Amino acid sequence: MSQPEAASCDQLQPPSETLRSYARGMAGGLIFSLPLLYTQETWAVSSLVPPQRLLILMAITFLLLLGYNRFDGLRDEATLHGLAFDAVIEMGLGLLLSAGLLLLLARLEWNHPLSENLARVVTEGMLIAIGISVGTAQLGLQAEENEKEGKPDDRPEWLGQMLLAVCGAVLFATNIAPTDEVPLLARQLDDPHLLCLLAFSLAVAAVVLFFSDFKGSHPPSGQVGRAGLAAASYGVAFTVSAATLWFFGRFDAHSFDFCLRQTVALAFPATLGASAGRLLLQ
Amino acid sequence: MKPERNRLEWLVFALSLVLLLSVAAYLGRSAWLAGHELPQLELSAGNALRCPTGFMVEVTVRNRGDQTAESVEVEGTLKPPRGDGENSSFTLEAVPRRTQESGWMVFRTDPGLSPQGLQLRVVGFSTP
Repeated sequence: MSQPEAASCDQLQPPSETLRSYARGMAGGLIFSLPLLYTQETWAVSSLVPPQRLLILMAITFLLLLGYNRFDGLRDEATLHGLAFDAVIEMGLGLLLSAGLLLLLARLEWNHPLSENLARVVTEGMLIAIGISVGTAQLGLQAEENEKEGKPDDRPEWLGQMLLAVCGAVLFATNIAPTDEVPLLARQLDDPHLLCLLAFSLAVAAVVLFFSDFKGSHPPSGQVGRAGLAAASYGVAFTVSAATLWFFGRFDAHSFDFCLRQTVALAFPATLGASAGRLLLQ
Repeated sequence: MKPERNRLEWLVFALSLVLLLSVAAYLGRSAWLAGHELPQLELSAGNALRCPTGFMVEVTVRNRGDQTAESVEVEGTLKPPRGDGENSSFTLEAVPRRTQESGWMVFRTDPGLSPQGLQLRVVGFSTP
């Protein structure tokens, strides 16, 4: 790198570049949250989410964004306050975009209490915020991609991999958790079906992680390490599925057995997110 | 090393922070003040309007409780001075807490001629 270029790295980013990165992020936010925005059950269920859960959602989203921005996100950032700076912007843009789109789709009802409209905006806005973070990182210009690939391999370690798996699982599971199909499957699938679904989810995690030619698919050495990572992907997917189902009130007043069945039913798409999504996100 | 931020980034950050803190404060307040009262449904009828099949009346359902009422079935009965009584009903998908929704009832006879007026009642509803 020449001297003037090296000096420019420490200077301010031009506003046009900032706008471009926000536009990229917002495009990503829309892509990843579109199913959620266009699902009737989400409109109905999200407006009933109690404020305590919404606050927990905001806190978890903030932590996830901190983690994701550590590896990608709006800017290459290493300090905690820098990561927090980006996370706040992503959440703010997510809320604005969510409110704007719900307004456009006439999903904000003025004769309803503010708390219900806000619950809808926050629920969808937080997923958009994660989409913004992922979108900024993934929809980057080719030149930046090449620049990144030219760097020494700084792929995140195990903990980082798991964090990306959580982001992938959240993006997939949140879009499906509020739909009526999840409790329907939980009611209609018998035990052998559910066990097969569980085994298939694990197999998909393993296949995607180790035998596909996905970008970033570098299995750890040793059978134990490989199996461990596949199991961990499923573990992440299962936990994220349970958390999203709880958030949307799908566990309220239901037996442990029914909650477990719903979680297994949702864990399959979440596993796809945690394994394939993880490879795409990084 | 702390990377520099341009003014646009600081502006967006400040607006986002204000937005997030306002939303969090509002949600915190709602969580603190949240009640758990079951749906309390009140009915009121508007004036009868002439329509091709008779008369239609707008009926407003107001929920003063803290929970949403779903599948709210509302029935109205007219007892004219002569002849049989007449029923009409509608079902609202949901009446959220502290909200009002409305539906229309249609009658063949003019509700204004009924000495007892239009008798309204909520037949039933479910809670989420």
